[in-house]
Amino acid sequence: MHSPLEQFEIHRLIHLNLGGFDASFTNASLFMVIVSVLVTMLLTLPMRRATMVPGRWQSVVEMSYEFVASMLSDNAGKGSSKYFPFVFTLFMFILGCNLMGLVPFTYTVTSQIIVTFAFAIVINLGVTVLGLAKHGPGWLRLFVPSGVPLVLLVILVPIEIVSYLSRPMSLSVRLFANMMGGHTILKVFGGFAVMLGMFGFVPWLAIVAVTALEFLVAVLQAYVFAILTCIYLSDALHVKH
Amino acid sequence: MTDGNDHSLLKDIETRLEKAREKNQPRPSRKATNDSNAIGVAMRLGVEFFVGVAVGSIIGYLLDKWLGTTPWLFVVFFFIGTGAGFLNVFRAANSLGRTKTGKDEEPDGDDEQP
Repeated sequence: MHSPLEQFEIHRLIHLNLGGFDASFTNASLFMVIVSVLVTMLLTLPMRRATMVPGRWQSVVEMSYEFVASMLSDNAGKGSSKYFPFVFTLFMFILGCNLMGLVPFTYTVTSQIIVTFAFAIVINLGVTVLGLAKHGPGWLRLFVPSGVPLVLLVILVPIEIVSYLSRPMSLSVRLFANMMGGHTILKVFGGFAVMLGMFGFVPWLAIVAVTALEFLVAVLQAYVFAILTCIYLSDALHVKH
Repeated sequence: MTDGNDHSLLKDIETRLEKAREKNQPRPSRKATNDSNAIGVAMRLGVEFFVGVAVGSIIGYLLDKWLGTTPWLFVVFFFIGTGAGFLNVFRAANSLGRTKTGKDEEPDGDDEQP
């Protein structure tokens, strides 16, 4: 019997060694490329023959554009439209990866914590640099809650800083845990379905239900990731008082 | 005669459009958050808390290793991390409650209320 965790294993497809670094092209890289190509195709092909009254594919593109645009303006406020391309790319890529993983025999890139952590650390470093560049050292007042006596600040400022540093971790763990958990559950139930033989239809029904739930989780987690990016962006753009 | 008819038809369409718009307006942002079931909320808050403690402890441990003050900074940062975990949970729960009830709040208002 296969282990339910076997699906997360990384295999090297093309061995590559760059100056001591193992930069092999793996199955994870392959699916990242596939997702990028698919998302780009989905977003560009229907728009080449864009019409006033959108067809099916065109309206998919327009809806996702408007969805992210309104999310950004609602959560990050004014001056945030400059960062729309970043948030949109991020959202579409993560959504693509999450949904891609639900197709049988594919690899879920976002079930690797290093992938989600890389996203999260880039976002948080970028937001920190952006905040400092935009507002100078005054931006660090973010860590000082207002209207608090000086004695308490000794405790509260470290707490705020640790809370800030924990952001990339919570952002990455949430996405990774949701994707990995869901796929493991699917595999475990799949194993039950095989083992139970004739009565295998019972776990099979559960698989159907869990698959539906996984679609919801895939979209929801991409949404949560994008909306938190917007909220962090708003922290960088607007200084609190 | 046909002119007037057309006008009333247009008006009709307009009012129907308006109605449809009103019905659809508050949905997109709200639906996505409402659909997140209780397990999702519980897990999100759990992760928030865990991450605060974990990051605090890791910082303490690394500082200890670096400065050679072995148990002390770890202990201090463990508690600071716990505080940060509570803060994370508080903020996450706050934002959850806000998206569910008060949708008319200023968009530039953030996690924490002044």
